[in-house]
Amino acid sequence: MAQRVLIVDDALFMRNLLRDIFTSAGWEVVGEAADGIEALQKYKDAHPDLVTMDIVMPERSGIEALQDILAFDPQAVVIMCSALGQESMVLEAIQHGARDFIAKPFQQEQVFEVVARVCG
Amino acid sequence: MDMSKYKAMFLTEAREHLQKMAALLVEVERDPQNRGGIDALFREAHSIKGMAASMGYQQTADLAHHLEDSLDLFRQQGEITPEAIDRLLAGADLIESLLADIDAGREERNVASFCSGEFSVKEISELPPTEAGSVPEELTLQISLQLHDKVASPAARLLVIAKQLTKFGNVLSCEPSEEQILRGGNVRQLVVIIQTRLSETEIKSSFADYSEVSRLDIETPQPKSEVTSIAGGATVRVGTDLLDRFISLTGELITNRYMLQSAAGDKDWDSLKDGLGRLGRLVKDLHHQVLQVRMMPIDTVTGRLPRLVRDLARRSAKDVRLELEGTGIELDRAILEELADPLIHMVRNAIDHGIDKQGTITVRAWRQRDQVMLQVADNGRGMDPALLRRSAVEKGLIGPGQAEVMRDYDALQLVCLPGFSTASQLTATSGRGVGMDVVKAAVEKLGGVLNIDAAPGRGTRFTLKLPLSVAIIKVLLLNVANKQVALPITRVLQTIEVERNQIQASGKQRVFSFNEELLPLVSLRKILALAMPKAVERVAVVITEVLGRKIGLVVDDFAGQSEVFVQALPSPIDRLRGLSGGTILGDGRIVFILDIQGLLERKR
Amino acid sequence: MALLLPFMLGDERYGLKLTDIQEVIEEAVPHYLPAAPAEIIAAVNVHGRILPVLDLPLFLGFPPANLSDRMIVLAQRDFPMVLAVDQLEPLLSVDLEQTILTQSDAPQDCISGVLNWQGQMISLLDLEQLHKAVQENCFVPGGGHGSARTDRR
Repeated sequence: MAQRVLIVDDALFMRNLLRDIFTSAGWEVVGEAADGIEALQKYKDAHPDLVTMDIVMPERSGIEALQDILAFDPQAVVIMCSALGQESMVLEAIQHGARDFIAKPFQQEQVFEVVARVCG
Repeated sequence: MDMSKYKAMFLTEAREHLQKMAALLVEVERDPQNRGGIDALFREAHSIKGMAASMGYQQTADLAHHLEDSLDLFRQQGEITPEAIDRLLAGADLIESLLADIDAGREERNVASFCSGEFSVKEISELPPTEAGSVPEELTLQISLQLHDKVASPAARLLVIAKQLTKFGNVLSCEPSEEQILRGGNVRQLVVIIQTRLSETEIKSSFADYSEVSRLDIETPQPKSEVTSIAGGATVRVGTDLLDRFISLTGELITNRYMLQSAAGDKDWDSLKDGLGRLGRLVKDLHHQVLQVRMMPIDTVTGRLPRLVRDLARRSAKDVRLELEGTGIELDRAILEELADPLIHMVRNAIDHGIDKQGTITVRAWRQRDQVMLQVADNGRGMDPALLRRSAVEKGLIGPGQAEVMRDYDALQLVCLPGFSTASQLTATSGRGVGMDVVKAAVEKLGGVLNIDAAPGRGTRFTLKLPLSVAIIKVLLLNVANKQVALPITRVLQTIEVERNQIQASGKQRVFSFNEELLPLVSLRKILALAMPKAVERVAVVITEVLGRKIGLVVDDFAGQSEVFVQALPSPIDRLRGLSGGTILGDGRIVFILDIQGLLERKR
Repeated sequence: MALLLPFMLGDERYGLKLTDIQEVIEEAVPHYLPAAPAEIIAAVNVHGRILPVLDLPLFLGFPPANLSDRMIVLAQRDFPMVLAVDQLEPLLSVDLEQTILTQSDAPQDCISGVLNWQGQMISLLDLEQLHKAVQENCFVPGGGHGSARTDRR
């Protein structure tokens, strides 16, 4: 059975890029969310194996959404998607329970190295 | 990094933690549900573990970790069992032995067998049993890794890795620490000491898919090889307020120097005099502050008493309470070191000979003007002067006539005679080790006084009257005409041996060449009006300074250096010129400290 | 009645009241005291205190003595001194009021009186005088060591 991923990013371009990367590797993308509130909702609906979480988003930020999801499911596997200059936020996210992070701009291999580690 | 210089500091701190642990255990034993106490115990064990691991003392770290684990369980249960107390105390003893190993530069003894012993606690035995043999032995490994230069957000990467490592086992230390990593920045190296059942290969393979890691080394941390004698000196921790005062004093001294310089330049004698007066005050203040650095609270030596009392009381099946009062009072470090053993002996005596079945030992300290009083009192059976007199006569320590005229107070002091013991037989605890004679000698060596008062049935009190601080200086011991004298090391520029043929005559004066300078030779025998020696091929010479001039002081030979307590001399010999004090060496010998300048001036 | 410790200086018998004595050291170990006047012959360790030893026969002008290793530690606070004497004798119980025969008129003798004890003459050592004499004769700055003692040889 294919592994299932929820993609959270406010930029359509990034969502599309990640969708391509995951589907090409045989993953099932069970949902996409454009903000933190939507992220928790979709997580509750789909119970994915993995969440990719953008950090800076409208409404609730990625870190807040991370905490919401972990509060709902402490076993949730969330990896953060960070951009340059967001190190302090990444550190905070990891402190709060994010399993790992991928730094933008990213390549397929990098994404899957991280995904393999957290889902392996 | 060279860790050896931290060794002394580690030992001091670890022993402090250990002492607190022992005291806490005794406390918790009386009140097994003392949550605060159990929490504190856990923290002490944790501290020892962390320090030992970062120093690379694996056995110590393992053992402390083992104790920490079991304490964690008790912490969750909110209660501790009596059996567990015994075992924890045994563990604390074992750590003490490990520290002794480390101190002596030996390899740490192995603690695996202790750690594999079960804690006799129900909850623990209900834990899933480990299949003997099939579980790999837990090892302590040091994992060092480095990130590639191009890794984005390296701090975050290290944090992820550090968190990952905690899943492999028990992380004993992490460098940089998590707090340091959280500050971010360009951190690319991580050294973690971990206790794990995973093998080296297993750990390496789990890092195979971390392309961010450029280097990964796994090794068994080795106790750092010791260069024991180098440090030699003990370490002292200094409060920052004291350091601040040093800094402000230094500032004042600098100001003072400028003032003196300008006064000298202007030939302004009044300002010069003012400045010198000020300098005198500053130097005196500095001296006072430096002495402060040496002060330590008494509980550095009373800290181990609760444990001792508990063990001894148990062994002799007595119910003994220990009360400590005033242990925050400070004394010179050197005095405290000398007091440690005598204190233990007095407490042992109280349990063995003072208290019958049940009683209280009170150890209290208080200030009395410029002295510190330290008292060990028990409410036991006391001592009977008549009995002591008779016993001393029977042992032939005093004559019957002497005994007859002896006051009660003096009869009590008889217990300080070598070879005196009031107990009909020596017990295992106080039969060995130091006797009261040694206690008395130790106190007196410090310039203190030991008072004993007791009454039959009303307990015994040993009261030590101690100086707050002692003048401790390093001296060079010199032999001259079969006698020994000492020179403060600060007065010794160098010690050399001079060949006979290097000595020339210059008028009435003998001189020799030292560093291309002709120095007069002065015979110490001659100055002290002692018999002159036969001519020898080479003479031992101390280069010292008198009135700003170097001279060579001829002695018979050097007898080594020693750190001594200087006693002020009593009247009238305090008026003798040429003596700056006296000291009693460890073997009871008196050696006087010479003031060469004073001696030479006296001759004129 | 008072207890008296008699001791010999040369062939004369002296005595000290027991209340003036802190203790008698049985086997005193003398240690070298440098730069001291001739009469101060050593220092001894008395319970950790460094005390000087006064050669009492020498100081009082007796012929060279065969000093006993039993020494007398004085109880005086302002005169912490150990006295070396020729020989200590057993304690005597005497009635000082009754037995003092003469009042000394030569203060430098350091004698406060002479008592007759069963026909024997015992000179009572006057510690106050002794203290003063030691100060004046041994410790006067620049005064050298010339002692003002009477020569009994």
